[in-house]
Amino acid sequence: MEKSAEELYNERLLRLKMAFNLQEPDRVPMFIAADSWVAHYSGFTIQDIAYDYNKLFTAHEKVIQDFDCDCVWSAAGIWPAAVFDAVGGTQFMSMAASASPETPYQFPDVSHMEAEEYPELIADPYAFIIEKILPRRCSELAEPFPRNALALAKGALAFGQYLDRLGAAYQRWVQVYGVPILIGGLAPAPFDILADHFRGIRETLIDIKRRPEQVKAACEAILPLAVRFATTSYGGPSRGFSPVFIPSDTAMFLRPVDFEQFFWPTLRGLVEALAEMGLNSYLFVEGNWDPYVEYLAELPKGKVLVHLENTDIERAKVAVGKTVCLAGNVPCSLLGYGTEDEVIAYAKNLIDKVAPGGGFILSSDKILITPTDAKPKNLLALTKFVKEYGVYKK
Amino acid sequence: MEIQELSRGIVDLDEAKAVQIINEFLASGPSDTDINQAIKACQEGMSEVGKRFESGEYFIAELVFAAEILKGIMELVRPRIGSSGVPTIGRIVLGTAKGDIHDIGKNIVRDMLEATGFEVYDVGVDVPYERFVDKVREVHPEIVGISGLLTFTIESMKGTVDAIKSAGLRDNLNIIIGGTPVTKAIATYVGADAFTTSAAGGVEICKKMVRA
Amino acid sequence: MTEKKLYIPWAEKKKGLGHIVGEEKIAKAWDRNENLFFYYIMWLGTF
Repeated sequence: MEKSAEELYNERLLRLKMAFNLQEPDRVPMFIAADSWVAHYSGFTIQDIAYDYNKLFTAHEKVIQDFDCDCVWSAAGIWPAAVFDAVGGTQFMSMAASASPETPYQFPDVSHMEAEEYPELIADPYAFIIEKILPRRCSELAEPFPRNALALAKGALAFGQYLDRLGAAYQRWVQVYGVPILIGGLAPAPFDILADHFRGIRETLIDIKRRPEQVKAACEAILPLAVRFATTSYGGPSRGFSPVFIPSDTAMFLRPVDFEQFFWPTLRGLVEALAEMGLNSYLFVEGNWDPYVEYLAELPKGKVLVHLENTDIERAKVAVGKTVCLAGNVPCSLLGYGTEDEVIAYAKNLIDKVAPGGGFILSSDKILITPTDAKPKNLLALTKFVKEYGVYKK
Repeated sequence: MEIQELSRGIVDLDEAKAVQIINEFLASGPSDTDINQAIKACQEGMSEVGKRFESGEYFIAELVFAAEILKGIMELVRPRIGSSGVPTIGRIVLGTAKGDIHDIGKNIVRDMLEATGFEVYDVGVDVPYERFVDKVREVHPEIVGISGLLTFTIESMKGTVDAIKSAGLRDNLNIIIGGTPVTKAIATYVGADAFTTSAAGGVEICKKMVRA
Repeated sequence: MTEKKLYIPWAEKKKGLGHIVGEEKIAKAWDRNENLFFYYIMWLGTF
């Protein structure tokens, strides 16, 4: 007899929760971290899903139906484009400017903050964002009143509509497909906020040498904002479990002694503050964290998922597998360019080495953004394989 | 001036020291030969920084800061460079492939290549095939370097190499691709002669390509 | 450290307003909107 959506939901949620709690569920869970990849898979362009929510959700539903995964990773991405257009674009290349129907968002490294502005940022970071950062990132917000106020309001309207539609889609998927939604909230690491979005990566790396105390103070000032970002963005059907997504991309540029001083304290502070409120964290750890993996053992136990890309996941399992749940890391180079056999061979080794003891979720190493990130048949083979080979024998 | 001190200043990432030394040096009325020696000392310093990166002691942040120190020094020195200019070891056209706007890695490689003595023609990011081809036709480089960070950029890298072939410019040219997703298999697929996933490693390969 | 108080929770807003009928409902609605707007601003500032 076919299981009901409710039964499937409970079964999948339990599987994820147990893995998160560093236990062995019935089998290794799997998620597909699909972002704009869903567009091409479902026969849409990037512009389609950036502007038409019906198409965005149809695209995600096709993935849900075809792949039978343990959850939806997220359908939020960094959409919607309508908000960006209203305020005059933000740091991402706007969809409208994109030349190709498959080219997604990208981060140019720009600096919107002068070195002299550290004291202002540190004194009142929220005001600094509104008064200085936003007008520099968003052209309409740099216009004189009332044009900037109108643009901000239009953007807020579009943002609210988008959140309503997203929430409704999530509820529908839970009810119809019995699929939990993994990501519940959002907050970048404070150092990343400074480097990626305010000062620029290059400038921040130089600031670490020229004005280290100001960099530290800036991260500490930004930390409460990151915490509040997480709580105000938090919602969704699987409340109480769904972790807050915390991307961490600039850590890999730092040598360990600088990572420890500049990047780590406020990232750990963010995770700890969330844990105290009963919120879990999902660290998306870009690049190679081999030099820093041991630090993860300082995080609260059973409250953190760490998604690894190039980091040695077997070594990470040994070093921190009793503190954090690990996700990853079938390479997109294999999923996108390799054969089914190569993908399965990688997954088999991964399950053999990292699954025992629990606390492991299978996924690709990266977030799937373009069609070349994964061939559908390779992903399908992977989802089928984990269901057979990933069973925990009692 | 102790040439080694300048080199040391860069290697140790001691900006204050390096700037002090170069200012004292310039105030002493150096000859063209002296200036070339100072530039050579800077190049040796950057080369050592590259080695420390390869050995895992320095990370990207150190490469960026070393390049920044060097940029500051060259800004002070450049007005005093004699008519013979600075000897170059080769020419390279460098850019990030079409559809990709990442430039941090490319810029680090550019700065290090310049510090090593290359003449670098940086054609920017999201570079259409034709811009690469036109630049190669214009400057006759020994090397073309194509950078990319995203998985789909591999297709653009291939397109760039194919365009260079179609233009009849592939012979006598060394093509190197760089960025985190590249592998030997991908280099073969793209039609490149070499690949690198590290800025400093890429510089070493380029030096070998021109036998420096 | 002076804050320009661009984020205004109800606890701040109500200062100097005296007695308010149905304050609990107002507080909830006010804070909900203030938090949603904060989310919007942070999102604009980082994405």
